Amino acid sequence: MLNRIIGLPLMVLALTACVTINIYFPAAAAEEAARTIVRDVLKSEPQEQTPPAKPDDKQSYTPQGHPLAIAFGVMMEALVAPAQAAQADININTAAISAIRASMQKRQSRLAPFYRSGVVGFDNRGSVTIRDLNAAALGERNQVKKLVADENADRAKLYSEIARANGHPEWEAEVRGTFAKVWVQEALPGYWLQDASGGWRQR
Amino acid sequence: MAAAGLSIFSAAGVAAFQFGFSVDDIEGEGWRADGIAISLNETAVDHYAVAITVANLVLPDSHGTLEGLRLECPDVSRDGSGWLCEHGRVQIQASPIQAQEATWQGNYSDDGRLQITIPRLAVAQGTVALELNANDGVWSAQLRPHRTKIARLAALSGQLVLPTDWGIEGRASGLVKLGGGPAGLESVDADLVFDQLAYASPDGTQAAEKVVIKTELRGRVRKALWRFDATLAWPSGAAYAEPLFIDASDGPVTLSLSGSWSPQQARLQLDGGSLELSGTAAVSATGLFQGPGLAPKDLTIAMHSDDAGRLYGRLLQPFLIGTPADDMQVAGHVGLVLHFDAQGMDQAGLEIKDLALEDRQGRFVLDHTDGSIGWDRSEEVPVSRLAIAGASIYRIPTGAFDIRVRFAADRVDLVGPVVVPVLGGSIALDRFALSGALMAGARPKWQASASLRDVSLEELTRTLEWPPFNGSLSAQLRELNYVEGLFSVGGGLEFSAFGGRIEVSGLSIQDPLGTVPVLKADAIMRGLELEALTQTFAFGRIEGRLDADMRGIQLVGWQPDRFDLHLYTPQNDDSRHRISQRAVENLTELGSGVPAGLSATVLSVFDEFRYDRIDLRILLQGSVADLDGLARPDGGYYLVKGSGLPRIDVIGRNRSVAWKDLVERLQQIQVEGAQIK
Repeated sequence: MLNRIIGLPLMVLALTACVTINIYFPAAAAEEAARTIVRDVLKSEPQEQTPPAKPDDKQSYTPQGHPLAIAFGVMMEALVAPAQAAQADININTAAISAIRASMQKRQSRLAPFYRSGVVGFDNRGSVTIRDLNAAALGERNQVKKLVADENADRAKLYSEIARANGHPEWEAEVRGTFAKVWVQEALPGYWLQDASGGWRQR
Repeated sequence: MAAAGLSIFSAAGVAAFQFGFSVDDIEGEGWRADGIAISLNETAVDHYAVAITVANLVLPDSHGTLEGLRLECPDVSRDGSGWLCEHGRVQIQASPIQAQEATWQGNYSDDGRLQITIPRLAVAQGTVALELNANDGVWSAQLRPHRTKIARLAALSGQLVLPTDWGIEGRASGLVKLGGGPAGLESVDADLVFDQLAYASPDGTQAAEKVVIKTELRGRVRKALWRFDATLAWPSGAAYAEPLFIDASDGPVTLSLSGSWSPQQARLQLDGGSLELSGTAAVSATGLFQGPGLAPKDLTIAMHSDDAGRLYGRLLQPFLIGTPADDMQVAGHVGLVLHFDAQGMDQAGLEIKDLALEDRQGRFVLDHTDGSIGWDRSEEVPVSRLAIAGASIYRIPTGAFDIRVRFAADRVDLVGPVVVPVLGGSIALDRFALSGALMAGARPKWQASASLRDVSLEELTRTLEWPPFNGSLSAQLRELNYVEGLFSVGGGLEFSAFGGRIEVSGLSIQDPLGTVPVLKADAIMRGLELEALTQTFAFGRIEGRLDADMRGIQLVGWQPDRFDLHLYTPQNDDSRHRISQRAVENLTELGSGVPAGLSATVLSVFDEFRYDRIDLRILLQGSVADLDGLARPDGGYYLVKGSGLPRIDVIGRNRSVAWKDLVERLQQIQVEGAQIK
């Protein structure tokens, strides 16, 4: 009896949560798409070693609570997650997105030294920000400004284009939010990252 | 002045005269001294030892306090017509310019002339030599600073407030001569060198490294009007003042100014000003500034550059970052004259000679251009003329053309049509009106109307590396508009090609020079001759006429993203309908992904077949294209419905295909060695 009392609300909660995600924004698929693009861009820089992606909250979640509820949760996750991916795929294979990705890849090798020296960092809004212009030589500062302006123009186009290409221009903010998280997770060693409260740390 | 606790003693013995004098404190306007003691001892005939001590001397105008001041001379002697001290000493235990222990010489003549020299004062972590002369109210001073720290000097001046968190470094050395009379300062002559100049604002927007500045200043006052003459040379070092970066190693910078300054009227008259950025630009200016903020009342600035590339790179490009004009290669000669009145800029003139621009992203090129442009805030000005040797937009080249326009206020209006030769024909711009481009804060927009005449489609398609079209393009473009990044064509674009008529309507391009331009349009094609069309596409010969409706075309980044295309044989088309074996093969492959394999059948003996209708519909939505044709009761759809004998139907069965696969199939189609690109 106790099992039912605990299990039923959880069952309802799990179903409701999954359905909500599918209707409004395919978060998992978007994150996967974002990770594909971000890794593709960042690998344009010759790198020593790409760190493994930081496990997301879901993966690091340690179940606690009643065994029946845990079993149900695990089962729902196993069933629902593939369904999400199948139902709500995110299309990133358009000519425009390819053009933007190519443009960002081309720029990455020039931006990378400034990411590493802390002149430019990944901010918490999915853009890049000049965080310490004094760390750049005087003659490089306008170059930094141009790279940052161009990169942010491309990123903004990328987010709006992904939303548009998937038939939901109103998803732009969610796409940006997803990318903001993934850029930070995938950043290479030495890069500077902004946390939610605006503070900076170096990977 | 107030004095309290005055004590005097004197002893006039046989051997020597002694005199002592002390005052507890004295106050004047803005200053105060306390603990004052003066002693005078006769050491020999006409030789005296003098000592003056002041415990605290509060300087006027909040210049701080001198503590423990001791001014002494062990031997003040009578020298002919005056008094002389050759080995004086001054000690100050604490002062705003640090503790001092220095020697001094002085003499005072009976006719009132006074001279004091202090060879070495420790000031601002450097030294200053000081010489003072005074005679009957007329005075002069010479200061020779040597490696004095600028930041400390500024703090001492009490006038110059420098940011405290910029880490300002740098030293000043040289000579400053001041002269004056009873009314105050009358002349200033300064020759100063500032070296090791460096600073960095916390946000990095202002910074300098290893800068050396040499200045010369001459100033004379007469009837409260200062006349000045100043030069400044910047031979080495680099500075960044967002967004400008100037490195003197690219060419030294020199500035000279002459004019007059009336402090009472807050009036600055600039008789001559010049700024020379070696190898980049020369700027000269004259003008009048007046008012509390010295706002320009009447200012003329002229600039000339014989290297527009360096001018763009050093001075213009930094202001254009983030715009389509921030990555150009520029060459030529440019001259500019600007005039400002109390309301701001009211006139501008630009002379251009051999100016060439090339966008490094390959979007636009402007070949050698000559001309002059005049602008006036309110009045109409003479017609501006530009002669352009050639240009290109997205690799489409033009021939030479002239532009005559009138710039006034925030408008640019065409004076006469601009005829641009392009691709064997021409584009004639009949009307062009730009507004909002020349005023800060306004949103630029333009409207135009143009006509295209005999533009070669063959040359156009070859330039754009598209499948070659035959024919020519003529069109009236009535309502060309550009507002907030959206270029649109009201009215339609009509042209003839392949023996038929093509009409394009609703054409618009969002962000035409951006990373991802978005083009939208609708098109209809009527009565195209398939024979000419299929030869063009090396597709295999088809005869007959073809109509097409292409709705909702959307190109993103110049690549197809969406469209709804319907190609079909017109109703009541009485032309000869024939399709070659190769065309059947290719159409079959296009519709099903596999070739028809006719060559392996008995039908291979026929070169061509008759057909009744062609019907193909492609609905592209992103990466997926839906295919359809004439309904067929037995499943699939007719792409080509045959007629007569031998009858052959091309039947499509794929309803949906990835767009890239469809494009690959088109690219694979080969006829007699030709390949579609």
